[in-house]
Amino acid sequence: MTASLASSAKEVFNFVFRRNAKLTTGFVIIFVLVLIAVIADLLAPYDVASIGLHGPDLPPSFQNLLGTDTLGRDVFDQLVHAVRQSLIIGFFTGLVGLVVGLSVGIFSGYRGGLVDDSLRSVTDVFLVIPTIPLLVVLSSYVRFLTIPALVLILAVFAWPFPARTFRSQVLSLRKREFINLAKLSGMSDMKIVFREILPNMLPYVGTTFANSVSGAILAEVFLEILGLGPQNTTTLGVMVYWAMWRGAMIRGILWWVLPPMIILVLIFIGLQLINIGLDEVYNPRVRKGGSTPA
Amino acid sequence: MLAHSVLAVFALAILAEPVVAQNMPREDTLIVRAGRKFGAPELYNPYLAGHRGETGNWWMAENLFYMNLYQGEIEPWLGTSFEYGPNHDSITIKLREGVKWSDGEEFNADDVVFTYNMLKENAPTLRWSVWIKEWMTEVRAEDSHTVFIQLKEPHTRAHYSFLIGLWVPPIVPEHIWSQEDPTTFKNWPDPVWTGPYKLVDTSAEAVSWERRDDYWAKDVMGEFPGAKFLLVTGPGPAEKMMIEQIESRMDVWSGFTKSQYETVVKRNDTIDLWVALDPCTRALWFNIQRPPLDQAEVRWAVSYAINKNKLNFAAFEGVTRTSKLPYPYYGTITPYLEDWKEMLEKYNTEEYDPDRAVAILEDLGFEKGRDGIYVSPDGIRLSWVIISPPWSGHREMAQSISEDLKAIGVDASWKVLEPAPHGEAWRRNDYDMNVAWACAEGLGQAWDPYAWLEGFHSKYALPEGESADQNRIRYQNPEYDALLDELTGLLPDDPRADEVLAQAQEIYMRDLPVIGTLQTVTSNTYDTLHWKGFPSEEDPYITPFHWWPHFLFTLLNVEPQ
Repeated sequence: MTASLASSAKEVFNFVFRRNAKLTTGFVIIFVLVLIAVIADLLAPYDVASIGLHGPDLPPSFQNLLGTDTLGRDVFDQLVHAVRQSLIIGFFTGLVGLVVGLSVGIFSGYRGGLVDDSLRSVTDVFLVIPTIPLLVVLSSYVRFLTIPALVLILAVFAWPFPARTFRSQVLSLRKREFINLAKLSGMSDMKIVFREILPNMLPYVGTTFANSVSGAILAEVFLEILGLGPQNTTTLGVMVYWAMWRGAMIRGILWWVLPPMIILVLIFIGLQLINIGLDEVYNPRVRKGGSTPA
Repeated sequence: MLAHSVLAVFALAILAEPVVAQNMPREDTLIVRAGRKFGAPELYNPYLAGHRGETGNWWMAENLFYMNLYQGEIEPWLGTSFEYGPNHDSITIKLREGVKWSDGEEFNADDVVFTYNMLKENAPTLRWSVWIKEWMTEVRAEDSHTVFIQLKEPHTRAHYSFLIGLWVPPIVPEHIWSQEDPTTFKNWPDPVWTGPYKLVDTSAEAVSWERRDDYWAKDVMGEFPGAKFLLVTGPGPAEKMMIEQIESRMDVWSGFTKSQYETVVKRNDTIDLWVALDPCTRALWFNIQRPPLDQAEVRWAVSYAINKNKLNFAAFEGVTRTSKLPYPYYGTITPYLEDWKEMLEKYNTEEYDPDRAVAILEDLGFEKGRDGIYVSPDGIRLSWVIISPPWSGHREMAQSISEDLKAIGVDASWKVLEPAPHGEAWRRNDYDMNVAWACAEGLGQAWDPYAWLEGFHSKYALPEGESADQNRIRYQNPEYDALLDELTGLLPDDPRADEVLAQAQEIYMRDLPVIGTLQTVTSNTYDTLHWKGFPSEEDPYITPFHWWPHFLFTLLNVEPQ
């Protein structure tokens, strides 16, 4: 049970592509979307949000692959840039939430005692804060909301749930024999955390990260629909907002409203498949046959 | 966790329906969708901040007179006439006999005297109180239906501010308000007004009213509303509003864009549409206290950089037209376009010439930095945030302007603020540029430019950071003040008044504190399935905007099909 971080990650990687179709599918979906995000400038080199570059409400054609919206903007161009921005928001919010949540969870669970009581109380306070109204208030009062500012605002509420999850895991792990052995052998606390505890929590880290990314993207869409997100930047939320604001669905301009929604669904499906796949890999109770890779 | 919260809120938003009282049959109920949410649904005191008259309170708090912009006439209502004294330093108002409050008490001169004195005594807390206190030195009842008002000095247009303006102080019943503190009184749950309906229920989502069979105008004027019940509900997402109107689940709405109302009219043949000229042009406000926007030349550079035709497309899908003046092109205003032709050619806010914008900046010594953004000779990088409220068209304007400014080398961005923080930033002058509307107090700019120009008198310029209603941008110019002071004492038809007005207008155009970029049009959609008699382009008996007090006349004209 003294697997290193690297070897554990390698095992997961091998298991993904050899044994678990859901995990593989999830990774493929997310990989394609990330690829689109990375090469967005090549796919759509124009200032995508500019009003009046094309005619309004044009259906899909060779010139405008996904048509145009009522403000004369190319939907395909907007979409590829929106994928990039939404993934950035999701990834960085998830990352900040994960790092903070992981640190708090491990420190709290491993140390125990007064430290645990204090950190658990702080976490509990954050967990009961009514997130959505607070997000609305914060977003409307920030003078100029940029993507980094939004990430920070979302991250404030993205860490407590992971912190509780990781704390529970650490509480369970620290009583296991291999941890006692490590302590008896004179291993430092830091080494125990990084070499013994963290590798055993990798699947939880993966699922928590996937959940955090989904939550952040959904929260961004929600804020944008209220008109409170960073509207200078084209995100999937901004696209949905404009389509809703101009009544695209009921006017039958489906080429405007459906693409961002389909991409959002794909992101969530991709992340959920990763989530379920990781669970199947590491949780024997939900796995059909096979054994843990460790 | 975050995802679950967001999904739950989404679900609630989608499933939420306005509350319709069960004892209000659809065929007896006129359903009006308000354009704003009811922030304080239990506040029916129109003099307090936070009051939202769109609940229907404006329609029940009847005015002495109404200005009918489309007919160009003053409609006497609770008052029958008003007359200036020989020196224009006093006004005598005659009141209509037979008017009753909703609790049966007689409406008379004591109520009018009490209302104006109440405002004087509670300035500046109550809305309209500052002007009343400044100008009315004495208010007294000459008899039960005659009120005499002494002004502090001759003022030929005082009636704009408290008698015929589109929003003027409503008269309150003395027998009730004299027992209350007007700075805290909510006037709820049973607001006593002279209007034709009584309040039944109020919530953040919906307000319901029931017709009063003892409405005074039934016998005195032969006027009586056709709908037994009124239901006023808050707005929803555009898609939802379109569906509701297509399915005839609401009767009155205002705010669809061109493509939206075209769809609605196409799918519901009982919908009547009137795209009407709004009295407030869509404007760009500058923070003239923030360098380098304190220089008129820089403001003109911004004006030349803005493509107004693109603005029209962005904000109104091309339905309206660009504007030379910050006034609506009603018949009362269009003669000025001809009279001031030369001036408006010299100061042409319709002109789009980005090269000229760049030339102005460079003549002033601005140079581009390494990032391609202009920097002033004082080292100020041109980085401006354009704020806007969340209303239809405003945010699109902010975006379009920001794109045009970026194109000439300005680091421009835009930010949509909710109504409350937007209003606060506007009143405190806390922004770089602000896309909003150009409305004078009382909307007098709809018939007389004086009303707009007077709002920039330096006597209204409060210190920075304080919340101001007039002259929010803190414009100060002694030459301009002198002209406005002179105009205040001249009759509108005095030849000298034309001359002074033109001089003041020219200073305004030269200094350009606010650009009236576009004429505003508002789409008004009425469902005629249950009701007929709505105002229309063919029969514009009153302005169609249901959030105005004037909607009273629509209520009185509408009858069952």
